[in-house]
Amino acid sequence: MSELYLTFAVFGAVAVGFVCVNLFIARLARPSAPNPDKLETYECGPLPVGEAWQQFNVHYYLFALLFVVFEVEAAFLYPWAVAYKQVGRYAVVEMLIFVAILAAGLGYAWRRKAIEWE
Amino acid sequence: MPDKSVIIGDMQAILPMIVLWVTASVIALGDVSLWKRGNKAINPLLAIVGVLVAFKFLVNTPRVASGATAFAKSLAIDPLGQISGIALLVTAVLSILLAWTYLKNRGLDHAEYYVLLLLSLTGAMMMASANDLIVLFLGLEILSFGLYVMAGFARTEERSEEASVKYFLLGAFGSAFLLYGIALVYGATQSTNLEQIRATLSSSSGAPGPMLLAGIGLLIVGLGFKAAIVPFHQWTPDVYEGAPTAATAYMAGAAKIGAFAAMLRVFGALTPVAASWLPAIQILAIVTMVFGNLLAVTQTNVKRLLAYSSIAHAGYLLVAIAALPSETVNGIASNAPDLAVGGALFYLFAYVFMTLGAFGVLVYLSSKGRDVQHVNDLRGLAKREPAAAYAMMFFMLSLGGIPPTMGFMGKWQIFYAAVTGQQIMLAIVMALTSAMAVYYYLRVVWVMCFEETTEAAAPEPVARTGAMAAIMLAAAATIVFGIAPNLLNAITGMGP
Amino acid sequence: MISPSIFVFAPLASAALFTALMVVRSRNVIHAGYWLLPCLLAVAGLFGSLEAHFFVVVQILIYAGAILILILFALMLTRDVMDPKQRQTTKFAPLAVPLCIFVGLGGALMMARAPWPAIQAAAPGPAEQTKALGLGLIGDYALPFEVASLILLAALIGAICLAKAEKEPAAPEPVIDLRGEIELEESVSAGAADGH
Repeated sequence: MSELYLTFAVFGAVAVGFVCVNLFIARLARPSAPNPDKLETYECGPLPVGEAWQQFNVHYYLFALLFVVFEVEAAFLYPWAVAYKQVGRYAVVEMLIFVAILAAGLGYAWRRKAIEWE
Repeated sequence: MPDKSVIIGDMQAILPMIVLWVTASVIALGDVSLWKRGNKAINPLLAIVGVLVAFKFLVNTPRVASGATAFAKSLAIDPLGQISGIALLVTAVLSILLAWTYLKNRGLDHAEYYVLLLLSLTGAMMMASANDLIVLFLGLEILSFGLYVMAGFARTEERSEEASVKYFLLGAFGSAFLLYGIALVYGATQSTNLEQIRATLSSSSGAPGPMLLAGIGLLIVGLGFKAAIVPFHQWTPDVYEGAPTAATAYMAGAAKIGAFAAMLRVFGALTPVAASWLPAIQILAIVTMVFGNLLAVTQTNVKRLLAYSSIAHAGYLLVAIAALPSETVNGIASNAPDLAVGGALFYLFAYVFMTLGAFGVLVYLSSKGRDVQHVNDLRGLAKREPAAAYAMMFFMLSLGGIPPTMGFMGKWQIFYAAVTGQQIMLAIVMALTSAMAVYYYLRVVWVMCFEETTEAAAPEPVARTGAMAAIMLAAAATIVFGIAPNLLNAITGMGP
Repeated sequence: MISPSIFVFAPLASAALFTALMVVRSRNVIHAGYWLLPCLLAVAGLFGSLEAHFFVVVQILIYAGAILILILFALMLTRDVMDPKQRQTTKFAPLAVPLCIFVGLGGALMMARAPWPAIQAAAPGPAEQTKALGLGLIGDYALPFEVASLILLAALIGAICLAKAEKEPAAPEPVIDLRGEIELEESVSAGAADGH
């Protein structure tokens, strides 16, 4: 196991610990006097109406899907970017084809108004 | 950077697939911008042109005996890939013709159908030529993605939606099995390349390790899901029934060809350890043949009947797989593997023509308010629609394996390969179950010819030309290639 | 002999297993979705313990970042977030438990007994690894690389096609004569099921 992840582990522990410790100290220091009005779900002042659950617009899903597709594409770009200099033009053409395939998909999504909020 | 001649060779190998992908992209982009969903006929026309151009390139690819590869050995250029590619393109032409009619009559005429069909066709062709398990898996995924959506293309119909979800969930499950199998085979052989796997396996002595066995088992399960082999077949009747009939037809053809071309490749590469998987394939073949035919007997919905019939046909094709490892019989070199591959490919052609033809008749009869799929809908068809009825009769006879149809020739070739490869037990079961199958196929013929229709005349469908053309093409092929099977071999360059 | 890496592997693996179980067991689908987050992160940790650095990043970025969001959005499209009365198992559940244990133990045993190739050298560092991966994608695996893009295209078009309704509503015309038959068949089969 490399020390590489030790840094991450320490960083993560400090980050989580900072929040926990502060909340714990605040709990010790603050007064606690709950009443029903205070325990109400906070919704910018107005009284909460109905349930928190509601059916979402399918557009959210389409955005998330486009996001996934292009993030996967981006993930492929990283190793390519590290390696392409060694291979040269061939690698550039390959990546252009890869991007072009998805660009067609983006063009379709765009014209189909999948990325517009109606 | 690879050599120029290598790049040209690589490009030549995937030229048909490039054509299909470009056509799909042109239709997708053109439909949303250039012709703005105005002229709907342009989409199927473009799709057919694309498939024909791909066909031209595929047939023009120089025939190499075998062993030629492209893309660092990840794609094989061999007769198996080319011939199953031709079968796939034939499937595509027939299904586009059917879709043209069906989608128009059912008010589903959207360009996306043809886009997805062409994309999934690209995947299926990739799968049929895959020389690497990774390429095989990716091809299978593209094929499946297209099929999932096509199954649910009639979005307003609950059954279509259900078919899509069912197919997706079980298909994803099957893919996961396949992927895990690939991982284990890679772990055991240190390669995903089928050629390399075969070399490793034949050079290593001793019994295969547990990891390889588990890997092969999972490969069988994963591919079995896609090919609809009992006991991994449960999705088939529901999906076939719920999907729009034109999509069912394409699914029946393309998924079967892709899965069996892949199986022929994978099990060909696993021949050195055949002793470990042959018993499993034999049992699956028997179970599939028996249950596929038994369950088909009670069906009253023609789409379900054809679904069980497709399961039964998968069983016959498995017999060919079982004959693959018989490279030597009693110590003498045997041509059983070649016969098995040739027989399976011929059978796939026969299967495509008769099954797509039979679905084509259902498409031909369906109109906007009436989706023909019950056997009672065919009552008295011989009087109402003689052309469709007689074509249907040929398809049913061919599916039942009655000479002189193509179905008979296909069965005979697989039977012959099985006997040559000493798979006597399988050959016997195959003959018996085929005889059983004749009953339910002939019942459809009986209903069409000898029962009277009880319902009022259905509204005339808007368009029928495409479906009629597909039916006539399929019927002609069923008869002509049944009488002269060598003609098909001559056209496709297949055969001994 | 126990190698020290077990102290990294064991907590990560048990966390992955436990959270995966919670995903399946949660009665609230949103909770199930949230349980997926630690599960995916634990798997990223496992990749890290195998020194597959690039895949740690990919796992967190794509799976924990993007795909989890997609799953949560998909869950938000549902109407019933939870139903405590809904049974989570079928009547075959008692059969499944021993079967799962058998398959799991069998798999573990198989893996333990398999002859693993010896590790030749220490894994290369993150930069070299990523470069090797890139060279692979450009070179030997050029075809799978391009085909991956095609898969994304198919998924994109398919999803838009299913999710986005047409402008002119496709006539929601039920097939009247067939509907009747289906209902009939269902009631018949339901009756048959009751009889058994």
